[in-house]
Amino acid sequence: MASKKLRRAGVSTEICDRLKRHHIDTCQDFLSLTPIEIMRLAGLSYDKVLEMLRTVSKACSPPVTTALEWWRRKEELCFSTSLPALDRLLHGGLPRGTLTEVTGPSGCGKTQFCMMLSVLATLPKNMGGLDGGVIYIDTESAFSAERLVEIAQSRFPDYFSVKQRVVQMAERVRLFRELTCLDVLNRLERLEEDIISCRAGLIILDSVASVVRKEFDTSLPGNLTLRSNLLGKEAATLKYLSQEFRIPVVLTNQITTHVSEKAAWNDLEADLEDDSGRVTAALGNTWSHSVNTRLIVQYLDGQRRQMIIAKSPVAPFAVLNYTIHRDGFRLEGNDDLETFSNEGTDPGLQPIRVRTGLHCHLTQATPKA
Amino acid sequence: MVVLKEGICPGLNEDMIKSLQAADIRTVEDFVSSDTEDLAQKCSLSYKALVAVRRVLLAQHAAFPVSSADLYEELLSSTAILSTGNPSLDKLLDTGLYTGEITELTGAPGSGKTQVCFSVAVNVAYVLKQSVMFIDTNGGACANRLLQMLQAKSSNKAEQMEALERIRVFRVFDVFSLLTSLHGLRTDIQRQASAGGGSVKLVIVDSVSAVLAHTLGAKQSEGMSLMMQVAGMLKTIAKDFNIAVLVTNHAVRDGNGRFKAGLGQSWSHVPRTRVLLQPVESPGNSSRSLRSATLTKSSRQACHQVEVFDLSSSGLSEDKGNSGKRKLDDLKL
Amino acid sequence: MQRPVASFPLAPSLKVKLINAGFQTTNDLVDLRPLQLSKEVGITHEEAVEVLQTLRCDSQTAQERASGGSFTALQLLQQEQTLGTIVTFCSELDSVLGGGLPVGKTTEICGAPGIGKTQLCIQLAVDVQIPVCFGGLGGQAVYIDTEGSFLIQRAVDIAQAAVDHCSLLADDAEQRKSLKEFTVEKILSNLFLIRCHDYVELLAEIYLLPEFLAQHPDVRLVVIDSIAFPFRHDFEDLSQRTRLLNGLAQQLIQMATKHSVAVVLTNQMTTKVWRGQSKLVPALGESWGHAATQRLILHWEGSKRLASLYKSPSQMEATVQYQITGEGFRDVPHSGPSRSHDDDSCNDTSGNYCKRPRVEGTQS
Repeated sequence: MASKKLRRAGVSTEICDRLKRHHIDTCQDFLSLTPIEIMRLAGLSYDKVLEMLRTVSKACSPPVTTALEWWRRKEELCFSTSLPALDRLLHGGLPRGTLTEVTGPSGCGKTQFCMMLSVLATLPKNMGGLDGGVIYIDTESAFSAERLVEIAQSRFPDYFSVKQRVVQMAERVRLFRELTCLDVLNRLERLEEDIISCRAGLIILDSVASVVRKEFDTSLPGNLTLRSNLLGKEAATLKYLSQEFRIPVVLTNQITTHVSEKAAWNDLEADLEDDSGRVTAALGNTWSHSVNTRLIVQYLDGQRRQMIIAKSPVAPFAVLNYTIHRDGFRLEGNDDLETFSNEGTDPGLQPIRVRTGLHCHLTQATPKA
Repeated sequence: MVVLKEGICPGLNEDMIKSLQAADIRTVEDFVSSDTEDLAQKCSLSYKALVAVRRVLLAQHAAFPVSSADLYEELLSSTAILSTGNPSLDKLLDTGLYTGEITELTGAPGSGKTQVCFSVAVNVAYVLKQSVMFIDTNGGACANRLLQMLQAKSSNKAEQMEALERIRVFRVFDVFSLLTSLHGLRTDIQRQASAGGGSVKLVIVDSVSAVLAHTLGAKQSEGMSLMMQVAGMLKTIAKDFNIAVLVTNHAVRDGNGRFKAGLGQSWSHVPRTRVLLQPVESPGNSSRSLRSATLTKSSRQACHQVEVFDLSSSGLSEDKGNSGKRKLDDLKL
Repeated sequence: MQRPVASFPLAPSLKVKLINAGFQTTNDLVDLRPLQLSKEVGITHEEAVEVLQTLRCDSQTAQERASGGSFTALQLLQQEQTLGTIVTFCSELDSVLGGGLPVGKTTEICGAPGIGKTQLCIQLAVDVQIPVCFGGLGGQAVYIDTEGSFLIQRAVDIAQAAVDHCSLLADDAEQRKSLKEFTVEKILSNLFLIRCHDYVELLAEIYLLPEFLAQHPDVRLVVIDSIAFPFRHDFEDLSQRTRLLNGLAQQLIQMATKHSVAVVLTNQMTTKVWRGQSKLVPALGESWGHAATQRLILHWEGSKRLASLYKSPSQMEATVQYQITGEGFRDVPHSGPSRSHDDDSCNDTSGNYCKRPRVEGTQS
C-alpha cells in the first residue's frame, strides 16, 4: 500500500505532475516529506498541504478493528506444539502472526524441533495440526528428509502407517536452500506466492544467524548498523507475512560469547565477577527486540536438555526439561506450574549452558525465588 | 520596500508610475537604487522631476542616525533586570534577565530547562508582581508544578491564585501557529500599553526548537526564513515593549561528545545570552537534582563560568551539597 | 498591526512573488482587490483570492485571541485537575507518576527486550476503561501495533484480572451497577486495534487519528507500540528520519492536548559504544529524547525489573520495582516500607540512586 501511486490516491493531476518533477511518485515518497517541504514542492499553502496529507493517508492507512473481533476468531490464534506443558504455558501454543525464535548451542535440537513442527503443521486439524503446507528455508543444509519421515512415523504411527499419507506430508513441506544474505532476503520478498500456492500454515527459517554472521564481521566499523538494518528488514518482512496470512513463523538462532557485562545502563554497581565471557543468544540487542517469543534450548546433562521460555508476551519465565528421541521432543517431569515465579531476566543476556560445561551458571537457569 | 503609489510624494503622479512600472521599477527601493539618468532616458521622463522625487523619497524613507549618547540614555531609562529567583543563576546572568534582550537556555532532555522557566515565571509573577506570557510548544506546561513552586514561596492561597492569574499560557504546536501567536501577543501588548495598563515583563517560549527543528535541513530555505521570522518577532517584542524574552533550545551531542545547541549557526546569533544546563555527576552525591549552568555566550560577562544549583520541589535553590536530598512527601499535593 | 507577509502559511513560491512585487507587510495589501493584486504580482486569480483570505482570516483570529484564546495558569490548573490520570495497577509506579499516566501529555516508555513494555501498554489500555465510580476514566483506547506483539490472549487475561479486582472492591449500588457493564467483552470492544507494517502506514495513521478522535470522543488513550521498530531499518537518510520523527512528536502532542488523550509511545534500546564501554541507551537518536513530555525507562537489574522516571515536567525522578504476573503489571510484594530512596541508596547496590551516568541516545 505504500507503493501506491499518488494519482490513484486521489491527488489532482496537476499537483501530481508538479511532484513528479521532483521524483515524488508514490505515497511513500509523499509521506516521507515534512509539510514544509511539500509546501515548497507542490506550491500549496499550509492548510492545503495538511488536507492533501490526509487524503493520501486515507489511501494507505491500515483498517481499524477492535480487539473483540480478534477474540471472536480465537480458534485461529495458536499453533499447538504437541508438548502439553509448553502449550499450557504459551496459552495454546506458538502464537500465530508473530515471530518465535529458538536459540541455543549446536546439538541441542533446534533443527529437530523445527522438523517436528513441520510434521505437526501438515496434520489435519482434528489431530491438532494446521492442515497446511510448510515453507522451510534452510541455510545450513541441516534438513534431512529421512529424519522428517522418521519423526512422523514414530510420533503418529497409526496415522502414518499408510504410505500415501507419508508421501503427502513430505510433499507439503517445501524446502528452499539459500546460502547468502541477499538470497534469503530475496526469497522472503517473493515468499507471498509460495505461501499462497502451497497453502502454507507455517514458515521456518533455519537459521537466521548463520548467513548473517558469515557475511558481516561486526568488528569492522559500520558493519553493525548494516547488519542491524538487514535483520530489521528480514524481521519486518516476516512479520508482515505472518500477520497477513495469520501463520506462525519459527526462526533459529545461534549463540555468541558476551564479553564484559557493562551493558547495563545503570552500571558501575553491577556484580562483574562471573560475567566475563557468558554465552548468550547471537545477533544482538536489536534482534532481541524484533522477535516476539524467544525459546532457549541448552544442555542439562548427558542426555537431557532444557528449554527456557525467555521472552514471551503471554508466558512467564519458565524452564522445561526434555529429551530427544526418535519421535522428536519429549518433555519430562512436572506439570506443576506453581514453580514458575514472576521474575525473569533480559532475554538478550540470559546465559546459555553449552556442552563443554565450562560455565557453571546452573543457578541462573532458574530465577532466584 | 514600499510600493510606489500615487500620492506618497508630491510630483509622483499616475502617468509617472505607469511608465516606471513598464520599466520594472515598482518599489521605492528599486527607484532609489537605479541610476536616474538611465531612468530618465528609458521612461522618457524629465530628469529634474525624477531627481526631485528621489530627494523626497530618500528623506521620507531613510533611517536617521542616532547618537550613542542618546541610545545610552534610552537604555538606562527603559531597561529593567528581572531576577530569576536563584542567586547562582542571577550571578551567571549578571544580576538577572535583561529586558529588551533574548536569553537562551539549552540542554539535553531532562536537564531542567522547563523547570528553570517555571521558576523564573513564578518569581516574576509572585515576587515582582508582573505578568508573564508562557508559550508552550511541547506540552511541558504544567500548572500543578507552578502551584507547587508558589506554595513553597507563600502559604497564602489568595496570593498564590493571584500569581497564577498573572501567568498566561499559550499552546502552539507548529511554526505558523507560533508566528500567529507572537503577532497576536504584540497586538495585545500594544493595546494594553496604550490603554495605560499592561505590565507584561517576561515572555517565555518553551521550546523554540520543537517547532523549528523539523523545518530546517534538506534543501529547504523556507525553514530558515521562518526561523528568521520568529527571531525577528521575538526581537521586536523584546525591544519595542521592554520585555525580557527567555527561550529554550534542545542540545545535541556532536561528534566529540560535547553538547551544542540546536538550530544551527544562524540561530546562534539571535539570543544575546546563552546558558547550557547539565546534570552534575558527582560521585559523592546520591541525589540527582543538581544542575550546572554554563554561560556559553554573553556580551557582558566572561564565558564558561559555571554555577551549580539544585532543582528541588520548591523550585531552584542553592546547592546545599549533600543535604540537597529532596523530601518526596512534598510532592503529594 | 503590521505583519510581514513571509510569516504567513502560504506557498513559498507565492510569497517570493509577493515580496518581489513590493508587498512586504499586511499594510501594503489592505484594501486591494483580487484582480488588481493578480495583475500587479503576476499570479492567478485563485491565488490572489487565497492570499487575501489568509490575511483577512489572520486579523480576525488575532482579535479572537485578544479576547481570550489562551488561558491563565489558574484556568490551566483547573483543566489539569479535571483531566485525570490512568492507573497502572502498580501503586508505586503510580505515585512516582503523580497518580498514574497523565492525560493530555505524551509519555515515552523505553526498555530492553522482554522487560514488559507491551505488558504495560496492554495494562493501560484496560485500565483506562475502568468506570469512573471506581476511580478510572471510563474511556476507550486506541492501540497501534507495529511489531505484532499485541496478543489477544494476554489482553483477555489482563482484562479478566481487572474485572475481578474491581468486583472485589465494589461497595455501593452505583459501583455494582457499573460493574455489570464492565465485562471482558465490553473491554475488548472498546479497544481499537490498528496494525501498521511499516513507517508509511504509521505516518498515514497518525495523520488520520485527529479525525478518528473527533468521531470517538470517548477515547482517552492512544498507544503506539512501538514507534522505534518501523523507523529503525528502512532509512538511509538519518536526518530525514529525525525531521519526520520531530514532526510526528509535534503532531502527537497536539493531538494529546486538543483531544484530551494520553499518548504512550514505546521505544527500544540500542547498544552504544562510548569511550570503550558499551551502554544501552534509548533508540531513535538524541533529538528524539526531547520529543516526549515524560520519559519512563524500564530496565533489568539482575532478575529484578525496575522502572525509572527519567524526564517529567512535574514529577521528580525516581526508580521503583515492579513485576509482571499472570494478571498483568503489578507491584512487587514488599514486607517493609516502599520505595527506598535516600536511606537505602548507600547500602543497597541494587537500589535506585546508583550513580547512573546520564547517557543520551545515539543515531542508530
